[in-house]
Amino acid sequence: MANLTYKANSAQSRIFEQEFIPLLDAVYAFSYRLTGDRTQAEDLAQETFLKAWRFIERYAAETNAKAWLFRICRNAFINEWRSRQTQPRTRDIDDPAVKLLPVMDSPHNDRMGDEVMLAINALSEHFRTVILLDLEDFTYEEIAVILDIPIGTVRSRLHRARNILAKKLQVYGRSLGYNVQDNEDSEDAPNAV
Amino acid sequence: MCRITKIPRMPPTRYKKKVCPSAVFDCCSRQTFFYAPNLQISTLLNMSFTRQHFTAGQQASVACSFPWSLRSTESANHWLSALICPGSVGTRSGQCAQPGSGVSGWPGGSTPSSKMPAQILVSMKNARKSSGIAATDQFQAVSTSPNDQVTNETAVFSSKPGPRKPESPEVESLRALLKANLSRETAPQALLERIRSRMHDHRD
Repeated sequence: MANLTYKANSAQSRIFEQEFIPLLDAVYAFSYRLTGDRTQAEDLAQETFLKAWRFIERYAAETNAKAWLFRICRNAFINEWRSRQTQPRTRDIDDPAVKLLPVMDSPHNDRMGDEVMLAINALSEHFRTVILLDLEDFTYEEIAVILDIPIGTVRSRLHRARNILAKKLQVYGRSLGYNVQDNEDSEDAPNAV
Repeated sequence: MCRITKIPRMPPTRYKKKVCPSAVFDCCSRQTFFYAPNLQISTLLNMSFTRQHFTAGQQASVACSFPWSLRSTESANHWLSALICPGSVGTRSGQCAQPGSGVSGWPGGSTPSSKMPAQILVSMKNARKSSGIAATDQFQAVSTSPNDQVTNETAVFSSKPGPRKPESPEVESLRALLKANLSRETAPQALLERIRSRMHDHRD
């Protein structure tokens, strides 16, 4: 019995190492763009992987590990991180770390001037999440499952988010040689939500 | 419970709320039935089409698939059985053949007599108002979206990710711009070590 448990754990460890760990950077980057803070992103990514480990028996090997992890990450963010953000942070004033904090504790302080990052960060959370998942090369169906929304909503949000970004980045994109067009007035808008 | 096949091209939620064939051909409930002996099937369907339960697309699909050349009561009964209660076709114990419904037999069971009037159960008023049954009760015949969602999830998670289909050149250009300028964050090594050590803690 103990031998069987050991073998199961060994197989799960192999799945974790071979399929999940290579996705750590992607999950961390997604977490960072959700939370806007590197420390919180580390915590969120860690929690995502620990939850994945805890429920690894529900995962079938060599299937869609990326979508599975991103779903866990997004749910963890929704359930815990967003509620934490509403609570005020408290720190001991005598804590020496307080003096080391930057003057402006902006999540994207180091991204000032980066037009693309600014444009994405200016999006509302719904639009930003859909755009980020699209940039991770998820299909519409995968995004719908990760975010637990209908596929028509994915299309709609993506369409609107792209229009907002195209409008903001039109000049910047053209200066870099990209054919960025604002299609906001086009009639082929997907299903409204 | 009358099983009604899901009509394609309709989002589940919208179908659930606005389109309910069971409200039009309510063959399970016997509270508000319209007795229509020997009434032309086309007339009945035309009447039902005037109701708001069918969308234009569904009207078209039903109208196109219905053999309008059928005029006899027997053929019409057979056809309506398939249209109304597909699950009960070929069985005598089908729920459409409830006592008093007039539709006592179907192909595979006893043949409907030509003398038997075609009693077709059609609610003529708004089903929610006339039957006194909560709309949600009637909508139970329709497959619900949570099951679809589970199937969908299972399909996505249990299969390998497929290649992404390229979209219009403008969209692809915007995506290329975003991807090229989006900083690629890498997880610190300490995070990986922390996860591995916590994994072992969880195992212990």
